[in-house]
Amino acid sequence: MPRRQTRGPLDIDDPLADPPSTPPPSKSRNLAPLTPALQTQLPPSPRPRSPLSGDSASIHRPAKDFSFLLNPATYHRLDTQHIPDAFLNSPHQPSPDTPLPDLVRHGHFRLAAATAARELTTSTAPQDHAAIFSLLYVRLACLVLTSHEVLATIEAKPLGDLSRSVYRDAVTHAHLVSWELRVLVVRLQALGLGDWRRGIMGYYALAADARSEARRATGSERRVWRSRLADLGVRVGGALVEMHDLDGAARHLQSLDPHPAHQANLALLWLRIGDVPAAQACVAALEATTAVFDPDPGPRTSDILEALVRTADGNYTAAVDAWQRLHTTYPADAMVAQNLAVCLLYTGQLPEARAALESLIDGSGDGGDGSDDNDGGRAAAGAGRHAHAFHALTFNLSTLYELCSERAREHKVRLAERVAATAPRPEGWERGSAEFKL
Amino acid sequence: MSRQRGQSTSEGLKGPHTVSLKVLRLSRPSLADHHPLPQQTSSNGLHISPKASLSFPSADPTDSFILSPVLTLPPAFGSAYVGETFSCTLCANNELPENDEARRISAVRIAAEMQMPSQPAGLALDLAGASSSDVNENATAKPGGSLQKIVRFELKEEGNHVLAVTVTYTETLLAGEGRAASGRVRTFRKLYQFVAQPLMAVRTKVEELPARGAAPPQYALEAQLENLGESAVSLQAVTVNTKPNYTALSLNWDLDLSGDKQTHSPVLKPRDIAQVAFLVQNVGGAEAPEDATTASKPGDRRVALGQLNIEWRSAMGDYGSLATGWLSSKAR
Repeated sequence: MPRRQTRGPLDIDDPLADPPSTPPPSKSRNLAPLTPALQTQLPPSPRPRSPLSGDSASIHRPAKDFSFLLNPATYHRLDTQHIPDAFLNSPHQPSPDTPLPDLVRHGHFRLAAATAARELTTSTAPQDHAAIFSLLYVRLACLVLTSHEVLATIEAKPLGDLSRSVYRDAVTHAHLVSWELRVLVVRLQALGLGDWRRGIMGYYALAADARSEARRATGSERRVWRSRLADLGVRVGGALVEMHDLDGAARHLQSLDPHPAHQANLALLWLRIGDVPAAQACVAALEATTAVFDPDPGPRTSDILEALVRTADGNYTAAVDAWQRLHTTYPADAMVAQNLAVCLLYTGQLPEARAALESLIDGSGDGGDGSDDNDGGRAAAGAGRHAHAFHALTFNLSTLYELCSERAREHKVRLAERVAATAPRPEGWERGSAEFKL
Repeated sequence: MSRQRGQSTSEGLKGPHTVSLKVLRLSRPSLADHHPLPQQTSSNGLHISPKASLSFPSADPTDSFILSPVLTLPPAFGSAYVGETFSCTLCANNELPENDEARRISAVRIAAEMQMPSQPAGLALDLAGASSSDVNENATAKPGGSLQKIVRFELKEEGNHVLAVTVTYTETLLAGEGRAASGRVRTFRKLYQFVAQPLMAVRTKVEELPARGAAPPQYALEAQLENLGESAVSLQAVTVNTKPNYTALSLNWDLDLSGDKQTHSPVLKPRDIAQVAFLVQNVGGAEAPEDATTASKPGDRRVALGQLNIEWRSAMGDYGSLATGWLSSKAR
């Protein structure tokens, strides 16, 4: 006789239910508000009876059809007009038929996005939800990484509301979409609709899920869920900043569980708002706690914040002192060196600022001695320093070129060539022209 | 936005200038945003490096907050507001090609003045630069070298401002073996125009409170402060300067600073309005003298109570301040 599946108090001690994967709904109702998805679990048609062994994998479930995500019209072609020739013509540029795992591993995110879309639309079965969501995550994440955020928001639309029952396993009600994709989609859909309140509600819905999963899980799995929950708290703060509710973001961060990381982020937020005394108060509170929190080896967070506070105070000479002290102690820290260079410009030391940024690009020795390094672009990295190319670095150096010469464009093109000559790394390699202000 | 009007001297026949002038507005550097991707846990061989979405290499991938400590130079001229300090850097650059054996640049000098509504002729500006004069001399000696100066100017007036920069340099023609054959002093001037806009609109109201018997009169001084700018500001301090025989008591967020509750200054988003109030009272013995400048007719007894001082800071602590004129009680 077919057994009709309903949700309700009867399921609490149903011997046929699979205990670990079927959360008793009434228990979780007491502890945390149920997400809308859990409350509307009433599949319309009867299901065949399961074998008494209770193994949910062998329970027959109707195959999910996700072909609405495999429509080629959804996925945009990525053109290369905005990429400097230095990268397009570089020997490091992989061939388009390189396997996707290799592309991802070596940081070729634009090609990975294209390959993921190709595999999604040509070689993935509509029922293979694991592969679909995995490829979709790579596609959307790589679009974001290659400055195609707008395309990512458009391509995230067909997913619709991820709390719908189609995204849940019919028997176990576990969510079929990976956590990282669910989190990414909240932001992309909020951006796409221009509706940050929807985004924040999305994070809270995920948080309710995370909370109930954390209560059910044990050991290391519980730790994973709790860290996801904490991460969502921080992302809500970020969403408030993105919608320009800076005051609200500060109140929100203050309401999170006390943790040095939140205090540090709050200090950054006060600096962003401009309330330097409030930022200073956070730094003082951070200094009072022990430095257990700080990454080792690396500069203390409170020292970095102190240097930023001096910068915000407009006291650039004191800021240069603070950044220089940090740089001398941690010469390999690119962020410190970069910030030092910015402050050097503000104190009238343009040649030193430029040299410092150039040496970060090349990964060559100490750039603080004012020597102009840019014709020795292939200088070997000294003392284990890496060549860097993060956005602020290339943007700032390009700005300095614009300040130093009528022929800034030549310098910027040469900068792109130097970055293209470095070996691809997992953090990414190819850059768009905008990063060089071209 | 700044508009540059290049104005060359009557030297068109002598060839293009071999020194260029570039300007960068030095508003505060900004903290870089980043959007860290969520940590991937599914093990399917498609693991994107957690550092790929971070704004700098040593960032903590487990911290997904949007702000990062990396400083970025101003991407655009931005807006200029009355009450803030306008700052920019001027760079005179030696544009001779590297291998130019025939010419040499020396004695590069930059001078600047600010023209504003009250001083159309321009006010000469002091320029800050690198401290040693050695650096100044040698900075532009080699091709590609730059002389950098920094302008700082407090914007006190609304309206059109023009930063006029004059660059003077000596161009020497060499006649082989480094011997100077002839030289001439060349000069050019560039004008950068921008508008100083008001950031804070202030509307005030003064009311005399009902008299309490023989006690000296008390006044309520209220003000509405509106943010007319494009981005949020943090209202650092609002105070009232009074004449010596008056005191002003702030009835605002800074009224009670006891206890260790962490307070912060109010944040005014664009178009937000903050209401502030002060209780002004006479504490000296004598009545304040009749304020001749505000009396509209003889016998009109108005009391000059105070000046409202407003201090704010915008993104990354950019400081600004504004003071109103003397606010008086209503005529009796």
